[in-house]
Parts: sequence; structure tokens; C-alpha cells
Amino acid sequence: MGAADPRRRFEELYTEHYAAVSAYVHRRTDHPDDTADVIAETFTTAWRRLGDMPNGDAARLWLYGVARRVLANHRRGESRRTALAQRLREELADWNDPASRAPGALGEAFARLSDDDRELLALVGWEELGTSEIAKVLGCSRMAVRQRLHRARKRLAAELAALDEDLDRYGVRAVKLAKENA
Amino acid sequence: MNVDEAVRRLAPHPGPGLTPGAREMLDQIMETEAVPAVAASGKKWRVFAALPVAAAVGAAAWAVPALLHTPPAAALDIKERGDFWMIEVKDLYANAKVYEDELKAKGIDVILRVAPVTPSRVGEIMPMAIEDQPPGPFIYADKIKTIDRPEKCTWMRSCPVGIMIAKDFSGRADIMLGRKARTGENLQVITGIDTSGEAMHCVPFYNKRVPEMRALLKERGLTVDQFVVGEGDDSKEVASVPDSMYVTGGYMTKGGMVTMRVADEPLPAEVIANRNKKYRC
Repeated sequence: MGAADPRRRFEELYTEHYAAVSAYVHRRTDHPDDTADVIAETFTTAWRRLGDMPNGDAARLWLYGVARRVLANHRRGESRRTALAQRLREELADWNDPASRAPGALGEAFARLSDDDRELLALVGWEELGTSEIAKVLGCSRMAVRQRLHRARKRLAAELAALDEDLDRYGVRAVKLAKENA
Repeated sequence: MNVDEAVRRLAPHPGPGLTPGAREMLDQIMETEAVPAVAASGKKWRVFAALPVAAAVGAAAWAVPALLHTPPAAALDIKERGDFWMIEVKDLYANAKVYEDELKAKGIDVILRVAPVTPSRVGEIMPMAIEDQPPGPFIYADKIKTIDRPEKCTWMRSCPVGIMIAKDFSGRADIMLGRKARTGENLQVITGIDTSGEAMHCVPFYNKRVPEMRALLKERGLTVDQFVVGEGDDSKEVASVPDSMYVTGGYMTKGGMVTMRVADEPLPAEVIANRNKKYRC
């Protein structure tokens, strides 16, 4: 493969998946500097490891996995401020997020979950991934994802119940999950 | 609405997507990083990817006077704590080789890199990710830990001032240490002057005229390196601008020196309010 080929491939992958990856990071960070740094480091890692990156939609899942690791390192202070993303940092600082919804009891219940539970539920609800896709992002089996998802949903239902939230609003399944937990 | 749909309703906004800045970053990544075929040879994470070539020479140059005045033993404080080595940095200006020699004397196989950084990062020591690390948690998380300041310096991150390495750690650690930059020295890490921990954080400087801004910077021991006029592809760096221009932002690119963003028109009030909110001022 010539020098031009990896550049072209990376450009295509970057253009195709940037929006999804940046959304993943944006939803999990609260400061424009952090958002820009994590996005920059994720794609820099992707460039370095281009040979490992799968094609098609699997690339998106692979990038989520890298972003997840970068984010975890970043939260531990184990990554760097990058000089690459200066303009992106300024754009994000000036970007005006549309008003977020008042989270209410649901948001409170969600916030009470562990990081792992929140991440699993967010991969379903925010990235709209299925069990096999989540398994690829997390590097575990589909069975493990199914079991962990079931437990996470159950714990969320229990948190909602603890907040006296009317579980009927969330369907029969939520009531059943909460009862399983009781 | 089931539980999954309920979570979906909590989704924060996905952000602005592929912006001009994101497109610019694509080019920067490919320009500043070696093509993947080179990186795939097992080389470690390139900490200094964004650093000008002259920086390595600069690092050696500043280290010489430090060697003359600082006993090597004072550079690091290495103590045993149970199954770990606890390493705290005592002399930020020691020669990088002094650190390595001290570490090697204890049998700790570590690459220690010292980089000039902005004030908010001085004294930090960070284990860097390793190139062939698979997606997932930091693979040495149980072997390499940071010693953090008691207080959180920003919302997202702790501020490590030392490191703990397990005695049975058998890999190679690649660590970056942030040190204060000398005046005029190029920084590895470029940081906005208004971000947390920087000199102008929460200082109301937006829309000041250039002379007023110079005065504010002078009070804090800073000078202007250059100006950036215009936005995006139309922006240009110039040595001087009319005093009538408005300051819209700035970032540290050299030790004690600021690159100042200026414009003919002031920033709208909502932009300033949004920045203050994002920077928690």
C-alpha cells in the first residue's frame, strides 16, 4: 500500500464516522477542551492504528471502543492536552448546546447508576446499538452484554421505583424489572 | 415508553458534527503523525508529535544549567510503599537523563519525557497510552497509578503530581512530565488563556481593546507574541494590529507569551455568556 492509500482511507473513514464519534464524546464530556482533546486523541490513535481498523460500519464500533478508552484515560488525567485541536476547541467553546431537557426523576435515577450501567444503557439509548454491536465495542461476549444489560435495566427501574416514579409510564417491562429487584 | 426509550430521552445533544475545525484537524493529524506503516513497527506512543523539531535541542539546552546546580539525587523522591514505588518529582528542571538514571537505579524501566507546558499543566506527570494497546481500559491501570493533588483542578480530570509503579511491573512505561516553559519557548501543549488554571481564566477580557488587554497581561507577567486576525481559513497571523481592535480570545503558544485573537467587531454578548458558562466563570 502506497503512502497515498492510507491517507485516502483515513480521510474516508474520518469523514464517514466523525459525526458519530464526536457525538459519542460530546455526550460524555462537559467541557469543550475535554471534548476536543478526546476526539483528537481518538482519531490520532485511529490514524496510527489504521491497519487494525475494520471496514464498513465495524469501523464505527471500533472507534467507539477507542474513544471509550481515551475517555477513561482522560478522566484519570492520563492523557494530554493536544495542540492539534485548537480550532475545534474554539468551535466547541462557542457552540451553543440546545437547552437540555429537565431530567427530573428519570435523570436522577440514571445518575445514580454505576458508570458501567450508564454506559451500557447509553450505548443502547444514545448510540442505538444492539447487543452484538455493544459486545464489539466493549470487547466481551453477546451473552455477557445481554446479562449486564438486563441487570442495568433492572437497576434503573429499581432506582425509579425508589424515587416513587410511576413505573407504568415506562411500561409493563419496567414494572416487572423493578419487582424482580425487590 | 419503555426503559430504553426513557434513557433515549436523556440523550445530551450530539454536538455540531463535522465542523471546519474538525476538517482542519484531519489534515493536522496526517501532517504531524507518521504514516501508519511507520507507526505499526512497534514504536511507542509519540508524545512529542506536535512539538517542533527544535524542541529536542531546546530540552537539552535548558538542562545543562540545571545539571550544574542541582544534585541529581534531588530530582525525584522514590520511596517504597508496599508493593509500589512511589515517585514524586522534586526538581522539575532536572535533566531528563537524571530522572531516568535515578529510576533505572531502582530497576524501574521508564521513559521519562519532560515537556514545556502551560501553567495549568506544570508539575503534572502522566502515563501515556501505548500504541498497540487494544480498545478498553488502560492496560497498566493496576500497575501504574497517579498520585493526585487533594483538590480537583478541573471537573474532568485530576491533577497528578507523582506516580506509583508496581514493583512487579514488567512492561515499559512512557511518562510525560510537564514543566514550566522558559520565556519565549515553544509549548508542546497549546491552551486557551481563558481555560481553567490559566492566567486569564475568569478574567473579563473579552472585547477589551488591544492596549487594555496588554495591560491586563502585563499585570500577570505575560506579553503578546502575535495576533491572529480573522477566522478559519481567512485568518492570518500578524505582528501588530490597530489599538482599536477588540480582543476575542487567545492562547498560550510560548512561555509567558500569548497569541491574541482580535477582530474589528466585538463578540456578541451571548457568545461571551456561553463561554463563561462553559468555562465555569
